[in-house]
Amino acid sequence: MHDDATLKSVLPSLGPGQNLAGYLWRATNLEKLFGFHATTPYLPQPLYSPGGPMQRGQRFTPPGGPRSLYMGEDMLTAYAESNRIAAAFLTQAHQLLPPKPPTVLFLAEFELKNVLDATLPAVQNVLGTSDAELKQPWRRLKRRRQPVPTWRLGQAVFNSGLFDGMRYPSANRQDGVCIVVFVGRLKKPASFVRVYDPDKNLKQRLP
Amino acid sequence: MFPDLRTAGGAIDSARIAEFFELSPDELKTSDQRGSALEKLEEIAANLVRLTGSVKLSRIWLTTPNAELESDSPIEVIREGDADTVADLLEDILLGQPG
Repeated sequence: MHDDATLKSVLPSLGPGQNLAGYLWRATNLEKLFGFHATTPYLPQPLYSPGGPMQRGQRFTPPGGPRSLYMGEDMLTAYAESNRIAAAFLTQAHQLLPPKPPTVLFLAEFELKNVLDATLPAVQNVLGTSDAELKQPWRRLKRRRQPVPTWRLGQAVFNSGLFDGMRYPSANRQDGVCIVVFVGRLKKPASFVRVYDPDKNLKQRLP
Repeated sequence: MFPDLRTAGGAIDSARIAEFFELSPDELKTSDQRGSALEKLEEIAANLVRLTGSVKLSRIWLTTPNAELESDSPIEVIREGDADTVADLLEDILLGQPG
């Protein structure tokens, strides 16, 4: 990954990004979503993660960084992201496969303007990065207070003000693609993310 | 199904926490660098049993090298005093947060 100054200088050459519309996917544990047994009751916020990316940090969001929403581009990727425990057992050839607790698979209708597509090799070349770096483990770097390249990229893309979000390769599903949406860059009415639920049991829209 | 890691009086029982994670008293002390490790470990245990369905499978996951932790096992990370990282990982999995 280029240094911060270089990222800042090259990002304008990658704009405008893609205008995307359709559906994004997420699979969330039922108990976590609704908090049935939580000490303090809360209403489900499918597009918001309590204590989530802004506070703890996430792959492209440093702690205290811009409000960010992470979604999968397809059902299998969203499921894979929620099924990492079982996947770990499979890859280690354990004979036992853990059961999966109730999980809510939901979609969000979206329209985003100027999405940076970091899955494209040409874009990665400009950014000085690679699939491997975009997928690399980041949690231990955070702990060791070492630079997290993807944090620098996410912050630079947000700071540029040029992009609503960024497509990136899933670290948990081969050929899967995820999107990080920078909520603070969504401009009504052109850009939005809205939970799809015809029965309106789940309701949330950003912004 | 969830492990009872509290005393009859409602306090977190460090001996039960140590037993669940198979940590020695010294290791438990090391993991308590932030003073709130017992609560964090209780959260990890609950989420792990929620995700694996049993204490037995929880322990297998805890001792298996994990790609998201640079191939360290979660229990190694906890022993280093970094229970927060393991707790955050489990929370993200439950939320379906692409990692």
